[in-house]
Amino acid sequence: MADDILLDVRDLRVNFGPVRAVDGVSLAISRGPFGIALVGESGSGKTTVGRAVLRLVPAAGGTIAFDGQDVLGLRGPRLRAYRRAVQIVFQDADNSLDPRMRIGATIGEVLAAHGLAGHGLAGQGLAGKGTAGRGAVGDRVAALLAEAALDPALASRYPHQLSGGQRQRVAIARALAVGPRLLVLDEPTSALDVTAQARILALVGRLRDERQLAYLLITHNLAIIPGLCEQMVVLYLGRVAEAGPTGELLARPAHPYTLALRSAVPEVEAAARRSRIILPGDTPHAAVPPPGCPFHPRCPLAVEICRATVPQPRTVAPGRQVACHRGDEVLSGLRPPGAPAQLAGEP
Amino acid sequence: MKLEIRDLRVSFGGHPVASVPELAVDGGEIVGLAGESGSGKSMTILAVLGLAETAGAAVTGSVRLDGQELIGLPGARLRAIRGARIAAIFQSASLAFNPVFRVGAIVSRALRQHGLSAGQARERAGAAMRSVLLSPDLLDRYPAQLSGGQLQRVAIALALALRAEVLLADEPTSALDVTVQAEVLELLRELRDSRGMAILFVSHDLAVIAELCDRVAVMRAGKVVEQGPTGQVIAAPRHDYTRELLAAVPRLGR
Amino acid sequence: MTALLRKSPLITAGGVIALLIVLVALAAPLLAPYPPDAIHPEMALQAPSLHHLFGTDQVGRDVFSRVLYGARVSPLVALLVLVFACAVGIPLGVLAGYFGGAGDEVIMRVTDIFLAFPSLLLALAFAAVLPPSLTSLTIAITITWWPWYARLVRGQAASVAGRPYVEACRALGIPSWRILLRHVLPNSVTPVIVQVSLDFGGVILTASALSFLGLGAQDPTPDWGLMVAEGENYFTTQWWLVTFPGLAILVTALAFTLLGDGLRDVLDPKRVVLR
Repeated sequence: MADDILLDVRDLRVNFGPVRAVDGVSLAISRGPFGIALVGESGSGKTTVGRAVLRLVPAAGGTIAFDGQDVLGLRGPRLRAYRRAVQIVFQDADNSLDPRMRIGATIGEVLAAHGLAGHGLAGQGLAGKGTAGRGAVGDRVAALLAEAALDPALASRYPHQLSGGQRQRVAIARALAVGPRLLVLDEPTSALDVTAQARILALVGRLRDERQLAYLLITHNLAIIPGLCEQMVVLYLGRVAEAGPTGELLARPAHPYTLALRSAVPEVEAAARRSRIILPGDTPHAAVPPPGCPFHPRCPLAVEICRATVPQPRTVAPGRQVACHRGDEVLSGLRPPGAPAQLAGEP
Repeated sequence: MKLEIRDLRVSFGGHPVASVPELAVDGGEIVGLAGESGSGKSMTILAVLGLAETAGAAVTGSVRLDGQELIGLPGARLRAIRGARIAAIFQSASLAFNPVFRVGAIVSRALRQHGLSAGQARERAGAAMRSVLLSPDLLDRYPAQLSGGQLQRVAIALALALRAEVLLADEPTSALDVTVQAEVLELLRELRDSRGMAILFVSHDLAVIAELCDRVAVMRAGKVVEQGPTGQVIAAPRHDYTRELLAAVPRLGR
Repeated sequence: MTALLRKSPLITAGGVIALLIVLVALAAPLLAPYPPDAIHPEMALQAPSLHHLFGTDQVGRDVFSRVLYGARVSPLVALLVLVFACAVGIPLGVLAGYFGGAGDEVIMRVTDIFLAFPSLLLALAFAAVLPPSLTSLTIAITITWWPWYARLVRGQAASVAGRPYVEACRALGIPSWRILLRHVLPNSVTPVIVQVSLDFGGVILTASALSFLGLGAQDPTPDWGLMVAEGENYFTTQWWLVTFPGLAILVTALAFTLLGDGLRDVLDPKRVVLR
């Protein structure tokens, strides 16, 4: 089983000054084709986990291993090699492409930087110009654009001439240029219209099969997860709330936060709607986490022990981890009573 | 009908950006304006508020509030209505609050602008905050000290304090976490039910519209392609675009 | 072009005049009726006439010709100053903004020191310690000018360094030097471009002032500032010695400043014109 693991994150910690953005997160990503979702709202640390995996932010503790090799200590050419194996697509499609470079040049630059142009000199020359012209680079760029369901002619356009959905697909094509085995998708569709979103998600599904890709889908939108990700991890305030197979976890949550999250998702079909569990207040600021379980101030099922002791992740069923003192009960069907009326902001 | 829009056309330099032949919102109902970016839904809101001209647009048609025509109304009279009878909340609540003023100062200034005394303003603001489940103490904070969800609720509280009869909401929850969004939507439902507010809710999220709105109009490229009771439009869409939108919405429910 | 004319006649006028000045500078030998340094003491201090459009100066040189040739001096100094100031300021600013840290601090404190002084005084101080000449003038003003550009660029570069597309480049394993050259630099220089075109007039004024004080061009160079200095004592009686070179300075500085304004408008299409 350990052989199957592509990326192994153990007890990851990331601090921004005094703020513990990621406070002990562990997750395992299997070899492709495989999808795992990292779910959370603002302050959960999900974006930071993605960035830490890409070595864009320094880790304060824990380990990350890729194919059994340590990632956090990589430098120089081995770090560059890692960056060919693991790539990221950012949320902000509008700004993740240099507005002054044509699409072809943006993708060509990546190929040139990694010597993937097929011909060193041609790579240097063409990547510097504005168009993905003739030669090995031009062909590669065209192929990548086509793979991302884009017209290769777009290579000569500028980002502002493309729609949001097209820009995001260019970002995907660019990430694919290095031939990664693991793709981190950080809220890839949050800024897009629903039809563009549907196309991007379909593309990810296709790439998974065609390239045997493994991906970490970071999102706050539960609805896009089923069908794309076999496993999911729910984060709250920098810690894992629960983790497990997607279908099971959504059908029978083991954490009160997951219950509330799932109930909050709006549904088009009336029949699919659940009774709302309204959580009072907002996520506390990560700089001042509450004592005990970070969720307890808003948790409708909190009891004495929740205020005192931080729950550690433990296995409550095969493949299911949860960090909740009452996890077994929730899994067995415990549900909160009607939400209490409480004024947010009162001590 | 509280708010009636007829033959509203908004254009920039001759190019039409929004065209609404007929849309009405009555007290005690929430009407949705659904569409993707560029559909013209936000321009429609601005036109109803009388703010489209300031942005450089040309507006023709009719927008009536309780029978009174708003298009073409002189500035002073429109300002009296804006805020007091028609309130609006937008996607980014933080943009509505000047960061150098305390939230309470902004709220009471708006209230005093519409004729209340300082004492009355304080009282109404406090009561309104309680209605949106926020402690009145939060009024002493600066906008940066409040979260996006809290600011959005303060914006709604302001509308309540002004006793607005109509609320225009332009993507008020798109930037919020889904659990916070649920709270704000619940709040809007309450405004509709217990206060009989007429709410025009703009969003690109069909699932939210399906859950919240009694009736819906679907816009695309500046035109209304379909409208009717929400349940009907969703169960039996008549226009291809509506079908396309519905098919694209990811479903958790299965 | 006509659209620009309609939008702002001033900017168009500025652009046209600036162009004319450049043409005059280039064609001076063809346009000037007399050599600029031809001394005719017997013709000294003659009022403007058909033979001498701007009159003659105290040693009989034709003021009109000298003004025409003067168009080569000040603008050239300004050009050199700005080129060198950019050559020093921009790289320093980019490096400081992108990498931050100790290097940024050092560079910023150095620019702080320079910027603490009024530029004219500082240029004066430098020029005073160097042997007076146009070269010294250019060096002195350049030293005073580069910190502004370094600061402008540093602010932009720091902002660009945090942008998603730069972060994406790092994630993609693109080396720093490439990121600096291809992404940070092009996206950081816009404010400098605008500032440079606006500064052209300012440098001309500074150069003229310094020449007026005797620290720049020396006789017989037909520098406008120098001409004003030389004619200073005759101001009340032979007004043409000061007036025409003075007007030349004014018009040139104004023309290039207006051009700079226009350039800023062109480069910043998001500026909303309030009706």
